[in-house]
Amino acid sequence: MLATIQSAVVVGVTGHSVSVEVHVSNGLPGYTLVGLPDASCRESRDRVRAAILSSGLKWPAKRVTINLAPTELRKHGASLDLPIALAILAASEQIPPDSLRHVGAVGELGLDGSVRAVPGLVCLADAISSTELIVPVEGARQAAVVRPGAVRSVEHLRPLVAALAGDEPVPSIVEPDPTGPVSEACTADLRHVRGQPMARWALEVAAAGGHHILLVGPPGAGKTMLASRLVGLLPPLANSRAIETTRVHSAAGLEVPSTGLIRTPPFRAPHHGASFVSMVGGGSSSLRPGEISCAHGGVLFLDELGEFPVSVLDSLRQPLEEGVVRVSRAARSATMPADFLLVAAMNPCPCGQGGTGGTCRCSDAARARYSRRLSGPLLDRFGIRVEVKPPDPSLLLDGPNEETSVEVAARVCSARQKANERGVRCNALLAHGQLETVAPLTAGAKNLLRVMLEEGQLTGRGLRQVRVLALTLADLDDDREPGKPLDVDVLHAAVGLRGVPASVFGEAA
Amino acid sequence: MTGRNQQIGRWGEDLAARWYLEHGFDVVEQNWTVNEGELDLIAIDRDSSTVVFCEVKTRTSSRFGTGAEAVTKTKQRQVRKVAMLWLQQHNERFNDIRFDVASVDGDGDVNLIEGCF
Repeated sequence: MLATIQSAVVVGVTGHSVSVEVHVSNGLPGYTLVGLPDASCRESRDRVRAAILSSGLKWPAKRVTINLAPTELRKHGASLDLPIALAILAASEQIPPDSLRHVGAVGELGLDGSVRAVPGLVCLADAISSTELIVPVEGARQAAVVRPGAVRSVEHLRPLVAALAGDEPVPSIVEPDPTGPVSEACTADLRHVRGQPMARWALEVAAAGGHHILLVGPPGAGKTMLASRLVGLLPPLANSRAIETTRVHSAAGLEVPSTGLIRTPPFRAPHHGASFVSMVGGGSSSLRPGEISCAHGGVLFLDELGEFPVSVLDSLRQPLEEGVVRVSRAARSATMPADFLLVAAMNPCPCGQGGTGGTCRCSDAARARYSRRLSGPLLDRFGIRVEVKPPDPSLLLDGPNEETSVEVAARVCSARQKANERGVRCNALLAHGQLETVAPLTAGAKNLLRVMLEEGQLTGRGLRQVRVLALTLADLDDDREPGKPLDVDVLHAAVGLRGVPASVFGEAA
Repeated sequence: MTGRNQQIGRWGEDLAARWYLEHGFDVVEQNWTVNEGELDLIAIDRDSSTVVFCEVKTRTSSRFGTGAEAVTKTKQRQVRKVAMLWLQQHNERFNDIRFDVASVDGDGDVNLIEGCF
């Protein structure tokens, strides 16, 4: 007997549909699995056999041939266990072969027949075109968001088989749950950061305009503390981005909320020992998403930026421009979303005291070598570069309570609202041509920029960034009437927000 | 091998031989033994000029799986090798050569898998 069922495997963050064909015929009892399975997939034989037997069903004492089509796609992981088991049961006539015609399935099987979660379920659900889809309980509600009205979840093989045979009611359709917990995990509040008015302001601007931010300062000044607060200032993820982020986290095997989509912007802080592949993605045959994709929709925090390998840092340049990363290997390639807000922190020099004057113990050569680790093009992509000075001791000990994250987030939200009215999610995404109409300059402001360009203090890219940054500053200023041309004051403030590290590194803004 | 197991094996081979006789075959050898191994049954269908080398496995209980499951790849290779020796020693021409497995259970039911390797 022949039986076929639809399933899928994940490559990158995209599911690829796979059809599982099982042929059970007379002959010496045996089990052949073909169709380019990798080791973890080939091991399904022992799991499936044990699961079928412990569910009180029969393992056919016949010749079992399994084909995973299309054969040129490498199949990996245990997500094909459940479809293989169902197809074997159908081919050995323990469930009606017709019952699988409109059914797709994914799930890993335990030896006791339990159906376990698989990584990338959201991506897999998307790829299976059958009218009904059987998935593990964990992640079923997310899968239901991309396939509303099609998803049924099961905990164990036995009740599923009984349902397919018509002996028991079929498990009910899982209701999609697009909500999700917002910001509850964010315990780091901005009110704990005392005595850093400039850096706090820079953080607010970064969140409002979506500008990448570089914090430079001596050890202990509060760079890491500030950076971890940024994610609490961002608005919750909108629908389409919540789905994208959930897909990435699901494919990467990260924890996704038990119900609903990921609504809290993710915060990823890879250590500077991170390898190229762990940052960008790739590795196994499934092309796992890297840290930059896991930070999609949220914040990627690179602490000790100068300690990251140069190759890793320069690999960020293309994703920073395009918001996606393309991972290509000989056998396959994948495009994964990687649209994140980059926050980096570093010391001004190897000893860390360079910015505070007089106490630096580094030679000129050591300082030059340290600052050279950051390529100009990467440095150029930080819209905001501020120095974080050690805070005033009296403010640290008994200063007044600072503003909370919630208050700042409200201002960020209203600024982003203004960006939305211009047709973009945040100002940093404004196209070149749009600037003239949405952010006109006064005559004085034009003069200021002309002088800076002529003196070499500003590059072409820098010019655009200063204008966008000035626009964000204008958006954050509630007293300002909308549509008014940007004047000298706001441009000065914008230049100030990206000037400080230039004084440290001695480079043009 | 204990005497009891040999007896069971002998009983199973006799049942398998009867199956071939009932299905129009001549059973030409039973337990043909050379240094390289043994063939349980050799049967010939004169009509289609087919020679069948049959491995008989008898199991009185299915506690350790059916008899057919006990025919491993190694056993299959060995049967092929011994079959070649038999063919060399018998100057007879056949149109077809077939390898069967007869799985005999405790009730004496013969499950014959034709041409299975």
